[in-house]
Amino acid sequence: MKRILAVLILLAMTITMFAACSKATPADDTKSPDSSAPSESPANEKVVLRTVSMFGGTDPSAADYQQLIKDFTNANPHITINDESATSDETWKARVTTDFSSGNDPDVVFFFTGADAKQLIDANKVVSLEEIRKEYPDYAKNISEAAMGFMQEFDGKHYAVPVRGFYEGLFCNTDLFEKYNVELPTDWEKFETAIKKFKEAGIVPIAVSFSDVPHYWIEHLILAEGGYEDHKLNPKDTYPESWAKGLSYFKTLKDMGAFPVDVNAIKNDIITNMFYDKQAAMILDGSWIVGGIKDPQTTTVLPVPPTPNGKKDPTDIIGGFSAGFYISRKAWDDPAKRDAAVKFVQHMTSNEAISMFAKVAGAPAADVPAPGGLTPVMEAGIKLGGQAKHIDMPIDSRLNKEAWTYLVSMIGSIADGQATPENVLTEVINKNK
Amino acid sequence: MLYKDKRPLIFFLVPALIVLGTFLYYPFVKNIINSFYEINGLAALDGGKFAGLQNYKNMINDPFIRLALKNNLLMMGFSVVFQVGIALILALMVDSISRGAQFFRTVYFFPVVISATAIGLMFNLFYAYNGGLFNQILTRLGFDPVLWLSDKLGIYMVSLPVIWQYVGFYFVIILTGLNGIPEEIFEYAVLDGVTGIKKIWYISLPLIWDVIKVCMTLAITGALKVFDLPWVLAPNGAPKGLTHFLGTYMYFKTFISQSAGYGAAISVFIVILGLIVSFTVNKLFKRDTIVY
Repeated sequence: MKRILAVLILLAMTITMFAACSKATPADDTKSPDSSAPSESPANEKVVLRTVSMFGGTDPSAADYQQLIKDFTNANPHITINDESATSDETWKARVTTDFSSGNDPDVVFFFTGADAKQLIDANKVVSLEEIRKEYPDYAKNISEAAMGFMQEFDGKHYAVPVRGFYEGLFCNTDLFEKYNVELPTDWEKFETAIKKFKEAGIVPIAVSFSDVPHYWIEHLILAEGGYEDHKLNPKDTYPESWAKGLSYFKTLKDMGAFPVDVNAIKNDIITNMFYDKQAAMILDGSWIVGGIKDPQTTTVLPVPPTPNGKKDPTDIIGGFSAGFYISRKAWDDPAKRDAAVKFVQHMTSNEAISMFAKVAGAPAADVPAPGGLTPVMEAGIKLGGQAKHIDMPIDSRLNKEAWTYLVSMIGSIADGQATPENVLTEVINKNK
Repeated sequence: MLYKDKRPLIFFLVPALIVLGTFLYYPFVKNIINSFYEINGLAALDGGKFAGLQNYKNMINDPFIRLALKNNLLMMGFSVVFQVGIALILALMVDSISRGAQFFRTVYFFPVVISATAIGLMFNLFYAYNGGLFNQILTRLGFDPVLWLSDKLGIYMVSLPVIWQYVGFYFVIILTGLNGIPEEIFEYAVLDGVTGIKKIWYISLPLIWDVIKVCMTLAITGALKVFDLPWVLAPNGAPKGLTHFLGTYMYFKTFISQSAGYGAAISVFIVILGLIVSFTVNKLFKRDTIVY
C-alpha cells in the first residue's frame, strides 16, 4: 500500500513539474502564419499582450499612457494588457534586454533606438516597419517624415514608432535667479557668474549626480566645445580634440564649486528633487522632467551656452526622437497576437495619442495641432526646439555600451583631476571598436 | 528502515536533480563557457565571438578588479572582527543575564529580517550630505557636515550597514551554542573558584569553539557574496567605482556595461576564490572538537 502511495505521489510530482515546464511560450506551439493566410485573429478570441514601456514612475506621460491603455481595452474587450512600465534608467534598459535574451520577450515594448536597439535588431528580436507594412500598409503612416528619420537604424530600416520627441536643456529656477540678482546663463560668462553667485549664496549652482546620471553634461560639454560637427561623430580610431577639451570643463566647473559636495555619490532622484525644491539653481536634463516640476511658472529652460572657444551655435541642442514602440518578433510570429499587437501600437501612435504624449513634454511625432494650456517652461521647451539651428542625438545613441558606461564611470575621476580626459577617451576609443 | 526496496527513492530524488541541473548546473557550465567568449549585449543569443583567455587576461589588467578584490578581503576582515566579534560579546553578555534575554535576542536579531534594499535606502538617507540624518546630528551639535561617501570613507561607510545587519544572525547562533553548555560545568567551575572572565576564557569559549568556527566560516564566505546592500547604497560603486565588490562589479560589467563574456569570467573568478577561501578557512580553523 505504501509503495503504491509512494508511486502515486511521485507521478503527481512529475506530472506537475512537467506541466509547469511545458508551459512554454505560445510561439513555440504555434506555427508562423502563412503569409497568404489572413493575419487577423478571430474577434472573440481572448488575447493577452505583455507590454513594457518607460511611461512609468515619474514620467509626465505615465497617467496618459494608462488612460490610453484603458481606452484601448474598452474598445477591444477581448484583448488584455499586462503592462510593466517603469522609469527609464540603465537598470531598466538592462532589464528589458535581459527579458529578450532570456526568452521572456514582451509583445510590445517602448524602447530606445540606436545603440540600445542594435542588439535586439541583431538578434532578430523586433520586427521592422517595412515588414509590418507588407501586411498592414497604413501602419505608422501618420508619423512625420522628420520623426521617422530619427528612427532609421544602422541597417537602413525602421523598427520603432515614435510618439514624442525630446529635448535636453539647462532648466533654471528663475525665482532663484531673481532673488539673488543673477542673470540667466545665456552665455558662458553669465553661466560662470551664476555659478559663483549661487555658490556664495549657499545654493547648489548645478544639480547633477556623477555616480548616477552625468550623461547630459558629457554630451553638452562636448557639444559646447566641439559644436554639432564634432558632437555627431562616432569615434572609432581617434577622438576629436574638442571632446577632450569639452570633458576638461568637468574639472573647471567642479573647482568652481558648481556641483553638490556629494556629486560622486548622490543619487539622481535626490538631485532632481533638489532642483524641484529650489535647493539648486540649475539642472541639465531632458524634457521628461517637465511633468515633475512643482512650480512651472518660475522655471525656464535654455540651451547650454558655448564654451569661450567653443564651436557650438548658441541655439544648438541635443534632442530628437530616440524611442518608440516596437513589436517583438515573438508577438509578430504568433497568429493570436500579431493583430492585437499591431492594433495596440496603432492606438498608442494615433494622432490623438500623440497629442496627449506631446502636450506634457517634447515635440509631437505627427502633424497634430499645437497643444493648448502650456506652462512657461513647456513653452520655453518648444521654443528651444523651434529655434535650434542643429538638433543632434545624444552620444550614447552612437557609442557602444561598454565604451559609454566606461566614459560615464570615469567622470568623477576627471572632475577630481585623478584621470585626464585624454587617457579616458583613448580607452573609450579602444572599447568602441 | 521504512522500505526494504530503495529503488522508489530514486524517483523522488530525480525531480530535485532535474531542477538543480536545469537551474544551477547548466547555467554554471554555460557561464564557464561564456567566459571564453566576447559577448557584447545581453541579447546576443548567438553566443558571441570566441576570445580564448582574453577575458581573463583583461581581468589581470583591470584596476577595478584589484580594487574590488581588496574591498572583498577588507570585508572578510570586518566580518570576522566586527560581525562575529560583536556578536560574541553580545551573546556572552546576554547569556549572563537572567532577565530580559528574550528581549535582547529579538532586538539584536531584528536587522537580519529587514530587506537589504530597505537598509540600503535607509543608510543612503543617513549618509546624504544635505539633510542626511548623520549630518543633521553633527550640525545640531555644532560640527561641520561630513562627506560620508567620500573617496576615503566610502568603503567603510558601505561596509558598516552590511556588518550591522548580520551581527544579530551570528549573535543568535553563538547564544544558542552558549545555551547548550550544561549548567553543571559552570557549577563545578564556581566550586573551583572560577568566575567572571576566567569562566568565559577557560570554559565558555573552548566549549563553543565549534560554533564560533562555523560563524567565522559563514562570515568569511558571506563576505565574498556581498552584493545587494552595497548596490542599493552606492550604485555603480559610488563614489567613482571605489566601493565595488566583486559581486557588484560583475553585475555592473554584465548588466550595465553589457559585457556578458567579461562578467562571466568575473563570476568564474568569484567561484574559484570562494573555493580557495572555504578550503583555507576550514584548514585554518581545524581543531579537535570538545565533546561534553
